[in-house]
Amino acid sequence: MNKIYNCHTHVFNIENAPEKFLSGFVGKFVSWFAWPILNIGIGAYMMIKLLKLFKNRPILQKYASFLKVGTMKSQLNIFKDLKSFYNPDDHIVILSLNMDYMGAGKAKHNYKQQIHEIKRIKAHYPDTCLPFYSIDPRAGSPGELLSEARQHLKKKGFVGIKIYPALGYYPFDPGLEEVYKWASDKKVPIMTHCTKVGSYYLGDITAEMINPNSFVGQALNWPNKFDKVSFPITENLKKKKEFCDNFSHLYNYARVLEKYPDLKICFAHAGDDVGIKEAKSGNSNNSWFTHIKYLMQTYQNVYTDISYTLVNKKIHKDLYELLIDKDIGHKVLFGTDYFMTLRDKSEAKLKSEFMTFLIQQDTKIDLWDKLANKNPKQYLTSNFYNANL
Amino acid sequence: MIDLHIIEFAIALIFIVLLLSLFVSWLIDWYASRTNRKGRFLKRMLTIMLGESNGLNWTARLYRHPLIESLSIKYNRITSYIAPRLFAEVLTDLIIEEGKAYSFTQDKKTGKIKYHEKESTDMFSDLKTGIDSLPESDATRNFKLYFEIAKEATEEKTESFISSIESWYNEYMLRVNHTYKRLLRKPLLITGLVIAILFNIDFIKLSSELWTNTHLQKSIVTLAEEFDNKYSNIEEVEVSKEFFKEYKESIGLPIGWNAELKKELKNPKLIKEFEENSGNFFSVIKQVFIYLFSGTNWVWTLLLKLLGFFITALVVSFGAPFWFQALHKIINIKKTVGVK
Ligand SMILES: [Zn+2]
Repeated sequence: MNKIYNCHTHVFNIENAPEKFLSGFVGKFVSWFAWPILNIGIGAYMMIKLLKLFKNRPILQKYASFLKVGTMKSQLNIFKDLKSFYNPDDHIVILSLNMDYMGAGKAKHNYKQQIHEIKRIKAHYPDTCLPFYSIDPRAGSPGELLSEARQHLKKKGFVGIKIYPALGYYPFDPGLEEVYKWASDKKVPIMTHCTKVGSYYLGDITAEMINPNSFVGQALNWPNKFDKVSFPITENLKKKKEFCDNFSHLYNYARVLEKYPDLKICFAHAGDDVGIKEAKSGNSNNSWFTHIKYLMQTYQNVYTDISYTLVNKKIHKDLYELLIDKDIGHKVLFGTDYFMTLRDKSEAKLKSEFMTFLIQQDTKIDLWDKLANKNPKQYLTSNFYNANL
Repeated sequence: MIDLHIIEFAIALIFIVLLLSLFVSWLIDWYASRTNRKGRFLKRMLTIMLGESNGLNWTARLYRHPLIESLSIKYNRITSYIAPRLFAEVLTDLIIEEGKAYSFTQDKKTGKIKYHEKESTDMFSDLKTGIDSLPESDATRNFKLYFEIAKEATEEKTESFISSIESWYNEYMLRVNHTYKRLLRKPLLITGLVIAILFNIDFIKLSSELWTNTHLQKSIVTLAEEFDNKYSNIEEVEVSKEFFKEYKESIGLPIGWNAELKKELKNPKLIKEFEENSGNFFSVIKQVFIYLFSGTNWVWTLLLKLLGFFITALVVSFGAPFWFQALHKIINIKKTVGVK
């Protein structure tokens, strides 16, 4: 059997995350008292033990494993845990995340430290660990961002770039153009988080967010029937969670792609199970799943992954249909979103469930191989890393 | 001439307070070790010592260094002690690492990725490269100073650098330990108060009991003198559950709510009810409330009681070492007075 490429995982832990990060996951109230407890080693330990007591409450069991991983000692330990679910010669993409600017306070261990620890993982497992370097336009000048990105891909073992606009910036931020230009030129894969919910910007909404600068004009080819974001924004100015959807809206990416049509970019989570359900309803034109499919059809290097979304067994069929689509099926990637998924399912179960599902489908080609090996290899190969060797 | 009775009263009282302080410190130590208070405090203090500059978080680096990380027994319990020599060596190693060029390259045929690190020439010049690459900060300034001193050394230059860091750490740790002790004052006071209320240890009542009950006073003085003979230093006292249990039994002090209720209840109906439910925790609480709030002078009873508790907490907050010394001194006074 061919080597597996998991294109979407995370290994950062509680120390890499800012104080208010947790509130994005469990709500303000829970995080308010859980955060200090989790930060004391024994506190986390006791909370895990406590949750484990609820034997007949699977949801609490899962939170226990989520917390256990999230409060584990180091990213290296988390990676070792994750690796244990795979064969020695499989490959795992770990997505770093710069959370220094999400307006959620300071992390005990900042982004620089996160990257330093990833270097240690990479040195331990140079072939298994394929890290993505996270770029945030607020972290430096366009030139600095480019040189950081370039240096990490050229020399420091990173194989891709990660962006996360929901943390408070737009994909067309002028600070990112240099990186896009270079990435497009060198076929560097970019991964972007793309769902309507998730961890999001927690600071104040600024005037610049309401009416942002952009290095590109409007997306002229964007179908009229699809909804789009127009500036200045007038709605949800007080509701941060809803407002944050403006950052990641696919229309913003369409604007970028009209200028850089060769950009190799993966819209993670295939629009989420919410987006997939929406696409089948009457509201199809507003579904991010529809938008992602449109971009995949229009641009040759636009990908999507099934991470997190594959948790929901009810939409396995939809993911299957995406994978066998003759136009875009070759750009669907396997990923799990470990360890976010631990709240729902173990990594082993997540992987085997979907694998079994694909094998049961009556097709001539090996769909699992396509999803977890062939497609990822094409996505990950750039001037700096060759996955086909 | 000092009255022997007063001295013996003082010895008994101080001894009781000492035992109580030991008990409260014991509880706090237990809690502190459970929550890894000391370990977390050390990390916080090191963060202040090393500072953070331009995103380089020294404390994080330090605690993620394999040699420090392996000190922690469990994944979620950071170590509460780092030896000075180890600290200095690890920090030196981290500085060298910071300046070391490295790269990952992919083999064009096999696709395998390899890690390369720049060959080391000699440690001292690696150290220089490291220090030169550090962002400006207070810590960096210290490193530069130690480096200049080391440069002047005739031999073992790196060793000189390491021992400079070691002394820096030692000096800082003296202050850290002092601060840690000072920070314990508040928990002592609060725990003391809680214990006083829970076990009904009212300083005023306790004193008057000791003052009037000479038999009790004598037996406590004997125990106190034995104790003073046995231990010349407070570090020698090994506290445990058994230790406190033994003293509680041999002293037979009238503490606890039950004892007081038994003595003070006047209303026959209440006495009957109390006796019927003596084992029941909630019933005791209820009785305590009735007792405290229903007497004719209940405001006075209550205020006096609270004052008693507060004094107990206050004396406990002086800490066991203080009372240990005090006991020793007063027993010596008794000896001289006794001779006369
Ligand atoms: Zn993710």
